[in-house]
Amino acid sequence: MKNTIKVERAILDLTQEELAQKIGVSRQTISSIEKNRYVPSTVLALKMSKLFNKPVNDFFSLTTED
Amino acid sequence: MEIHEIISPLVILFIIAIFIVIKPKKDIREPAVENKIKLLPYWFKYIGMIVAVIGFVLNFVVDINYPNIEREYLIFTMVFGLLIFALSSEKSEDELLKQIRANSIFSAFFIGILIHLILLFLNHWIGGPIKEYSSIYVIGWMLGVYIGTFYSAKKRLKTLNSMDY
Repeated sequence: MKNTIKVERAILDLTQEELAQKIGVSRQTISSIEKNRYVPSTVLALKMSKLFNKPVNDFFSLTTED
Repeated sequence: MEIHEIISPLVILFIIAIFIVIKPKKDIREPAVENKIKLLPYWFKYIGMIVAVIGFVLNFVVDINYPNIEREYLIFTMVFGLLIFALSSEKSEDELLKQIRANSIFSAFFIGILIHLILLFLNHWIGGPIKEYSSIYVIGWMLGVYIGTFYSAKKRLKTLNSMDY
């Protein structure tokens, strides 16, 4: 799975820390998701979707390995 | 078979039976598999650490100076401290940490058993009695491996995330 959270974050001009606070996780979690080391739960993905005001499919997508 | 060998399992079974009876019925619409791990507050970590260190240090002091005191009690203190330490939450506990915790518990459980079996085998091989190893050592191994795996995984993730590539 790959994602464009870094881009979405840049659009809203948020740091990792700020995004983490807004959706109630640690900065380490955001960092891990951005670097594809952790696949977030559906709840967390939907929280991001609400914040970015975009469907989840717009910033998470499957790769050929999935 | 001695009387306490029969009574203690019965007591445990009785306690489990009580829990089954008083357990509230769950709503059928609630998810059956939930990520609901309740942990002790953050500051319990320090209490656990202090208790474990006291047990560990006394273990050596007593061994040298007072050979007639039971060492099992001190090992018990140490394991109890480790248990509190292992059960206390981190400053920011979220789903990623819960995942790392679950993974660490999985490996600690099986590695703990494996270490114990190997030690039992080695002890038996060199001619020691198998009964010498009490269950407190298995628990100790499991807790030790759990704490080790959890913190090393956390640190490794932090290091990997801080690297730019």
